[in-house]
Amino acid sequence: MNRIYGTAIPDLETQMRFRMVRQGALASNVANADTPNYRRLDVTFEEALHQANGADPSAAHRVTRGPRGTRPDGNGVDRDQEVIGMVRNAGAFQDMATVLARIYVMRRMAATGQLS
Amino acid sequence: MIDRIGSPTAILQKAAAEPAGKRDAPSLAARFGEQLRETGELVAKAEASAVSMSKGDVGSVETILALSRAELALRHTVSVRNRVLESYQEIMRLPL
Amino acid sequence: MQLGDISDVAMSGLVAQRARMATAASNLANAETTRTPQGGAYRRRDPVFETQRLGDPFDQQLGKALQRVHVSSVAVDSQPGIQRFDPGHPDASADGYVELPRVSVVEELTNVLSAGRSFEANLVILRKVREMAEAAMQIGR
Repeated sequence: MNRIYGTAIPDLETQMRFRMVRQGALASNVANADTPNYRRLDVTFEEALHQANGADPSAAHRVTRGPRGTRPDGNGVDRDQEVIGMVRNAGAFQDMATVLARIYVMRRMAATGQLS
Repeated sequence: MIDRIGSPTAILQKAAAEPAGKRDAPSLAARFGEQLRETGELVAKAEASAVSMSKGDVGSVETILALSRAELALRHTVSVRNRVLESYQEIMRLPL
Repeated sequence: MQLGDISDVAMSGLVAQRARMATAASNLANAETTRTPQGGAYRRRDPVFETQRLGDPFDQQLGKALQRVHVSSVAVDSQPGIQRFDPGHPDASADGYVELPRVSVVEELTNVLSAGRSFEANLVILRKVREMAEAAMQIGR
């Protein structure tokens, strides 16, 4: 089975899942930019956890909570920076989706001999 | 019996058109083998670029360029393979 | 240096110009404010822009040169306001003078226009970068 998919396809799938989860965290930050005492969420991809527990896609996702905010309402979220982060994150996801599609086209061509 | 073969594929035509002096050059099979190897390298390089892109080490433009090259090379190789297969099947169908 | 880095730089520009617009709006709204919690008249504000390195300094040439803009702080005018003789004013001092903000409406409006244009210029960059990325994705299809 690994010969059919190679290593790029599983790697891209993993990273895409991560980006999707992270987008949720950033969206939560934007939505809660004015919520009292809200602390920002973020998700990082831990390669070590992924190696150890490859079967579970969410095993490599580490969710972190930011510090308490310095504003009077206890919130410290910078909405602009969160939106910029979302744009960047979505861009990475989109790039990977496009590249994954092209890889599938290539592998399909090699597998079937069909040129279209 | 040779003249009973139908329209030869482009490869067979090309092989026949080669001037006598080039008979020492690598055979068609060797050349195709080389093309196959190079195509495999391009595909591997393109997929490696994709993995690097997913980790943020390489840009999307770079990866797409690598993928485009690999795909074109693969297209050529698959096209040649298909025609070789076709002519092989034609030959196998010949009543001998 | 990747296309996404260019977008980062342009987005930082959007944020900075918006800060500029916000301070100009605050100054214009308070051009006649004589009373503040800190005492005295309103003091005009200006955002302080600072460059911020983009990503990895060991990147190729351009990676070292590319800079984002960052609003490091909002500067409050340190000069006291202008004194105007107006004994009837509720905030007039014993000798009849009122302190008014050192805000020039013309100057603030110029800032508004300039910030608006710079904001739009950054939007153009974002749009063009997206077009470049989309064009690149079509290669070989």
